[in-house]
Parts: sequence; structure tokens; C-alpha cells
Amino acid sequence: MSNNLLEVKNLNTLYGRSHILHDLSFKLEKGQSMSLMGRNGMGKTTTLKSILGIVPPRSGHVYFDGEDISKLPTWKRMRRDIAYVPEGRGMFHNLTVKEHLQMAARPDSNGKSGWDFERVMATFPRLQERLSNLGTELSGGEQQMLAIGRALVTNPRLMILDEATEGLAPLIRQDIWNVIATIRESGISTLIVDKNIKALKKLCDRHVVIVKGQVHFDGSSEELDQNLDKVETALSV
Amino acid sequence: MIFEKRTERIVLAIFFVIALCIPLFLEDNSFFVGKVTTILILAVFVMSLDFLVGRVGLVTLGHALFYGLGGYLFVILTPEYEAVNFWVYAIYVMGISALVALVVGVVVLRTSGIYFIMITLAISQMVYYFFFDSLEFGGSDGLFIFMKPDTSIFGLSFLDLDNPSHFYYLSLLAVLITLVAIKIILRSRFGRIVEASRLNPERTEALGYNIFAFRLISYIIGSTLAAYAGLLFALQYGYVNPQFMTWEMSGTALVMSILGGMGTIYGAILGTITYEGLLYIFEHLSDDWMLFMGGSIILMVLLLRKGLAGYLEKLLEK
Repeated sequence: MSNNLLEVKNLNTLYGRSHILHDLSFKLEKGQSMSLMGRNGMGKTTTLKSILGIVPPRSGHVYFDGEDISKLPTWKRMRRDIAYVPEGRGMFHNLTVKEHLQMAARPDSNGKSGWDFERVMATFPRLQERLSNLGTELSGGEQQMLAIGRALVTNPRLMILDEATEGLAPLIRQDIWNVIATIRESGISTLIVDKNIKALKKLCDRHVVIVKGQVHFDGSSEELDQNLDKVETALSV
Repeated sequence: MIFEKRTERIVLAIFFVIALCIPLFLEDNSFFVGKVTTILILAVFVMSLDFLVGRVGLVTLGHALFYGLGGYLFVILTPEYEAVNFWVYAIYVMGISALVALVVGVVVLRTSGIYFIMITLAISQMVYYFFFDSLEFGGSDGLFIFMKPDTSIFGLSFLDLDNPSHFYYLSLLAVLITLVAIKIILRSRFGRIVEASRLNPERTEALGYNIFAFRLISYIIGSTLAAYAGLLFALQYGYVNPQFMTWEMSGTALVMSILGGMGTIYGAILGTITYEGLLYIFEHLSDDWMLFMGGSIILMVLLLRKGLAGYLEKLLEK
């Protein structure tokens, strides 16, 4: 039995004729937290969408907890206890805060629900005051909290966050980082796409940097420190 | 409270109070009672369409298929000269309609957008012409119901379908049950998921839901309710013919739903009453009633962007 929760193997994804991901491979161990960094247009979001099956890869495999999920439709992959917090928060403008949480809530694939409505409320007290507001009536930070809350009530083993702190004020950003740290401590593995090396270095065990659809760097936080120049060059415009 | 909006509660309260009283004051005028009964039955049909189009996001132009099917199934299933039990056969009709909706749904729900509109239209036209050209189902004349069914439950009989007032209340009950059922469905977790998938199917799928299954179940629910409405209509007039299934029938119901305020469900009742009311008035005023009817629909759609319900909500909601 392997210790990998998520394994991406030789992923090739194309949009029409443009080749975005070239033989992309990386692993995420159970309970660990991983960052996925790269400049805009390097294929971070495409990597996530390929993992989830939203954009089907041309070739390659995605393994989750040892099982090849490459051929499954998106919804079945998510039922393996994966949660996705999309870029731009992905609110439904016709649902209220409470309805967002109500529609998403379900026990994990073993029938356990550690994360329920009350626990999300305790984690994000600010949402408590906005329960009957529509998702799009919230501030950016509140929307992000709701997007994370909505992912939590699905009781995931892996949470994938795309640009979770983008476009937020620094203080709110810190709040979100703290929440992600709490989630990690509760035993949920996280795969985080962001550009903030400092925050990610503290939060994640492992770091992958993508350049032009290929893995440019893959290593632990210490290795990241040793190769800081290489990584920063890859990330700076 | 399943009716969240103040406007909704006010409109429905007024509607049900008036609707409950109509037969009491018009007992002698059975034509008028019959007319309102027809409107109530149509309201059930339009609500079921409003649920599919406005809430699930399935713009179907073939909904009348199930309206006609409800009538046809009843006549085909019942022995010709024997009074059957209404409730038992209503369950049969709805059950078979649900199965048909399952099969049709599996085919049509593979498409979306304009293709969905076209394929639902095509399938309902196919069934329409099948009945139109069939000798054993009466062709364009349709079939007649010779015996009104009996409505007793466990030997207790309190409804006589030959009595216009009784039939009226049966239809009003159908409106109430349909309304409440759709509202309960929409407020459940199932309803929220359906609502989310109307807005953004990909995002809903990324939350781990099989959109196809949710749409299919909704399609079956909507179609089964339409079949019940068709059954009532056939019983009221004592016949069923291919006219029940025309695309004009589907289109008219769509206009009623838009007029009332799409997706509001209670708006479907308002839309049906308004449309049928206007039709009745114009038909009696002038030979050129189509001109007035068309003109007033264009006016209302232009002035009331969100339908009658939307307009009332603007007035009454704070």
C-alpha cells in the first residue's frame, strides 16, 4: 500500500492544438500539504482541472489513494473525498450562504461527517451574521470563507485551493492563511496554488514549481530555501 | 414556512380564498365553474413546466407530450364500460408516465441549450403524429371516456366527478398539492443542488454531484405532474385527442409561465389565470381577438420584465 494520497503521472493536457502540460508528474503524501507555484499561464489551474477531470488530459494518469481515477467523471472523483475551492471563489448568485452549505454538505466516502454546518460556523463566525445573504452579496474575504466552508462540509481528505488569497486585503489574507493552517492540522491534505512563497513555505511540506507546463522544482521547504534563487527567478516576471 | 416571500403568501392567500368560494356563489352557473376548473388544471400543467424551465433550467418545448400522455394512458388502461377507481388509475397513469419520462429523459438530457429545445420538440411531435395517425387510438378524433371513474377510498365516497363543483375542488386540490410539492422539493437539499446546477453545472459537478441524475429526476417529477394535469383535463371533458400534445400547447404553457414570472411557481398560477382571462374577454369582444391577445402579451412582456410575480414583488417586498 503506497503512502501517496495523490499521484500525478506523465500528465499531458492540450487546449485545442496548444500543448499546456508536458509529462507533468508529482506526488502528495497522506496528511501532507503541497504548494503549486508558477507564473501566470504556466499551467497551474490546468493542472488542477486535469486532476479533477474538468479538462480531460490527453494522456497520463491521476491516482488517488492508490486508485486510478483518470477515467472517472468529475463528480465521481470528487466523491472520493476531494474538495475544490475554485479561483474566483465560485459563488452561486441564486443561493444564500446557508443554502450554499446546505447543498454541499455530505458525509465522506466512509459515511463520517466531522465537518458539519456548526463546525463551519465556529470556524468562520463572520458567516454566521450573513446566513441569509446571497453568496455574491458578501465581501471578497467572506466569499473565500464560504468557498472554503462549502468545501469543508463535503468532508474531504484532500482540499485543493486555487488562488485562495488572490485579490484580498493583507489582513484578510492572513485570516485565510490561518484557516488553511487549521484545516491542515485537522488532518486534511491540502494542495494550494498561490504566489506567496513566504506563506506557503511555512504552511506546506512540499513545493512544486511549474514552468511552461513542466516541473521546474519539486522539493521540501528546506530544499526550497536552498534553491530560493532558482525558484524566485521562475516566479518573477 | 415554505413560502418565503411576502408577495407569494399574499397572492396565494387571495387566490385560495377566492378559489374556494367560487363554486359556492356560482353553483347554478356550471359553465363558469367548468371554465375555472380548466384554468386550475392548466395551472398544474404550467407549474410543472415552470419548475423545469425556471428552476431546473430545462427549457422544454415538448412538455405537452406528457399532458396528452396522461389523458391517453387513462383511456387506454381502463376497460371501456366499467367504472374504475380514480385514485388507483391516477397512480397507474403517473407511474407509467414516470417510466416514459425516464426513457425520454435519458435521451434528451444528453443535450443542452438549443439542442435540448429541438429534441424535446421533435420527440413530442413524433408522439403527436403517432396518435394522430393511429387507428386503434382514434386518430385525430382521439378517444372517449364513457364511464366517469369512481372516487371512493376504502369504500368511502365523498366526490362525484359528474358534479362540476366536486370536480372543481378535485382540481383545486391538485393545484395545492402541486404547489406545495414543488416548493418542498425546491427547499430541500435536492432543490438547492438543482438550483446550483442551473446556474453553473460545472461548478456543481466539481462539488461531487452527478448533474445528469439530478436533472433526470427533476424531469421525471415535472413530467409526472403534467400527466396528472392531462388526466384531469381528459376526465373533465370526457375525451382525449392529439390536440393535447401539440407544440402549441407546450408553447402556450411556456408563455403563461413567462407571463407569470418564470421560476416563481406561484407566478405560474397568476400567468395561467391572466392568459386564460384575457383570452376569454377578447374572444367575446371581437372577432380579431388574436390581434388583441398577441398585442397584450407583447405589451406585458415588455413592461413586466420579470412577469406578474416580479412586478408584484417590486410593489410589495421591502
